[in-house]
Amino acid sequence: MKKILVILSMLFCVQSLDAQVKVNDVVDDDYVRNSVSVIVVNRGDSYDARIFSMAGGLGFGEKFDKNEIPTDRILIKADRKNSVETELITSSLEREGVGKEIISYWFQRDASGMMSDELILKRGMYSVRDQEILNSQVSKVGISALGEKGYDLVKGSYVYVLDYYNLKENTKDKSYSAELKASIYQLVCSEEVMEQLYEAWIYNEDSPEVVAQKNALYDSLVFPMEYVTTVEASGSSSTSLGEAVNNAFSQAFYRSEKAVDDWNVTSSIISTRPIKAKIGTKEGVTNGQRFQVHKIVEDRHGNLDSKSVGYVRATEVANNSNVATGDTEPSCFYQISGLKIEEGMILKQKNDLKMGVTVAGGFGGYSPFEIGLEFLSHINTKGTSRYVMLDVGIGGDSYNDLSVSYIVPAIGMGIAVRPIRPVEIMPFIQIGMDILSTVSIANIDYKLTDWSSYVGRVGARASWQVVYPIQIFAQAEAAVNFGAGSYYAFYNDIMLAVGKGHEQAVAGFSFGVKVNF
Amino acid sequence: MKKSLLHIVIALLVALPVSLFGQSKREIKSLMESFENYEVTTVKVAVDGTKFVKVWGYGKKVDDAIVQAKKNAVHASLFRGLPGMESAMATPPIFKDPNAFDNNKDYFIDFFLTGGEYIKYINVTTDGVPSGQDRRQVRGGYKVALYVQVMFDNLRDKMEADGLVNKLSTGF
Repeated sequence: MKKILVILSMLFCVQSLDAQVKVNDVVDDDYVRNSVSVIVVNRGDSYDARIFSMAGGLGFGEKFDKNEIPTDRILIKADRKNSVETELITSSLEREGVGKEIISYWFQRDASGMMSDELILKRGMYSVRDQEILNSQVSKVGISALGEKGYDLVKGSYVYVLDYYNLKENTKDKSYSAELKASIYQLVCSEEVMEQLYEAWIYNEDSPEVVAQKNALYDSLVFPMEYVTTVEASGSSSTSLGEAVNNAFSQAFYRSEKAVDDWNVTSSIISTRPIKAKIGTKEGVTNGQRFQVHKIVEDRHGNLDSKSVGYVRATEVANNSNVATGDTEPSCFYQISGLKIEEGMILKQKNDLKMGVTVAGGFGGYSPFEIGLEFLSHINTKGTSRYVMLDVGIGGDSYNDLSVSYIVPAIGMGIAVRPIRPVEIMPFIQIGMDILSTVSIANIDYKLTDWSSYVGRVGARASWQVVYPIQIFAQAEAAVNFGAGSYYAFYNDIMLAVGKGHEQAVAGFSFGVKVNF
Repeated sequence: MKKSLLHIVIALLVALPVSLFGQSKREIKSLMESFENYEVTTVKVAVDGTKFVKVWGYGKKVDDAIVQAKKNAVHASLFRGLPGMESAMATPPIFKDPNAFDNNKDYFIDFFLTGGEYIKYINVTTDGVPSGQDRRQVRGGYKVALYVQVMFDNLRDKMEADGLVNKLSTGF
């Protein structure tokens, strides 16, 4: 009995702890701008200069302020075959005093030790929201004091350390690739740290002795950096190593935004027809970007929880890259899933790749089985979406000893309209190839155009979103086959003669599933 | 048939005066209850003659909760007082007497009629609708917070003019 009681009490404790964690995870519309400094890891090899110049052009967009610090690269001598260990990066940052460099940048500290809050006030004003403007209009301190918000922004200072490794550069085959380990650190900006800084603040009326004392105090201060997370990424290219480096960075940045919660933009919904929120270019919002909608629920004990209501995508992105006036232009969004969205609910950035994978089976067309990849290239406020499509159909026929298989890769685009939210109707057009192969192909000098024909395809698809992110669909299509190569025509004609093979024009139906991610 | 028609007419006659010419007993009860439990905090030192508060209200719908929060801001200024903050002293209520509401119940029930006199003494500065953690779904409805500027001096003048509170100059 005693044992059971102990177990029950332990379970209760675990549950209470869990509940406390939930409270901490409550979403709020309190997003503040972050700033970032980029540091590249040098390895002491021939790639150092190139990688540094390539990485210099990489941007974080408007969403981040950039802290230009003197340390823009750190040297860690190691073979570029593998990434360097995080501990080595951490100790390098400490050794270089990167935290102090960031503080010196924020406070524009010059060689004589004089500091200024000009940048802080400027960034503070830029990050002010309409609510703060409205509040300041009725308060005694007024709008001019809003820049002081900048002091809160200092704690959102990050360092993004880029370590490129396993670089492959094959100019003959035009094959380039790079792997990237991106380590993220945040400035520790406690009240104690800031108090120490203010003690070292030099005033015009300070005597040379006081100035010397304050400078000595500043030199003795330590502004630590806290390790946040590491993301791994890789990039490849058929044009240059620079492009591979860039692609790896894009992937790393996408993953970093997912990994660092404070980097995810939050805002409240100000209207629902259409859905609008006061975020835009300043927060790095782009067309099609996904946001999760939350509502705040309070239980009878006063504990808060945020519950997901659904997902929306940004459609018309407002240019809000200026200081708020109290009447900021909002961006528009389209709801792609979930329950009824209401004014005052919270949007939180929840990036996805804007892609979908399709798997379909059908009859009548060129391929009984098809897989595809679709990318959402644009969406408007009515939900009309443009997709870039890449499909690969697979099929085969046999007659006596002859067995042929067909692979039908095709690219195209579709424009989907939504008569009601869960339903998408998408006419599409594609062009591709119908590639034939047989077992006897090994004995023949292979040339793709001899073994293939071109395929043009038009169709329409009706999709139903069963549960986000899964859609089921039915598709009707008409396809034509033209410009057949000699071997293609030869083997396909044999098949056609026995009522098989690919006819010049076909109509087909298929059914499938699409999973968005 | 005639009898049931008569019953309906009698019922309507009983109900009409309450709903047309004032608040129903239920509404008055709910108004009184809502004044018993609400939170109010001072946001910043406001411009002269006003107070700047964040006040909460409850309601079955968000709109009801917003209306209640507005009433609560005025109620707090009149009867509860406004709490202080780092840079602002606490503000005592306009009425020192804890029974002031009950002593002038008819007056204040009219005063706090939805869309009534009280509305003249507040400016809502919330940007749009209450949002984020200022808009909470609770059991049976919503709890919302509003940023409200209370025209404190004007409110006091009104109470003085209506003879409910002594003029500040009285006794000097």
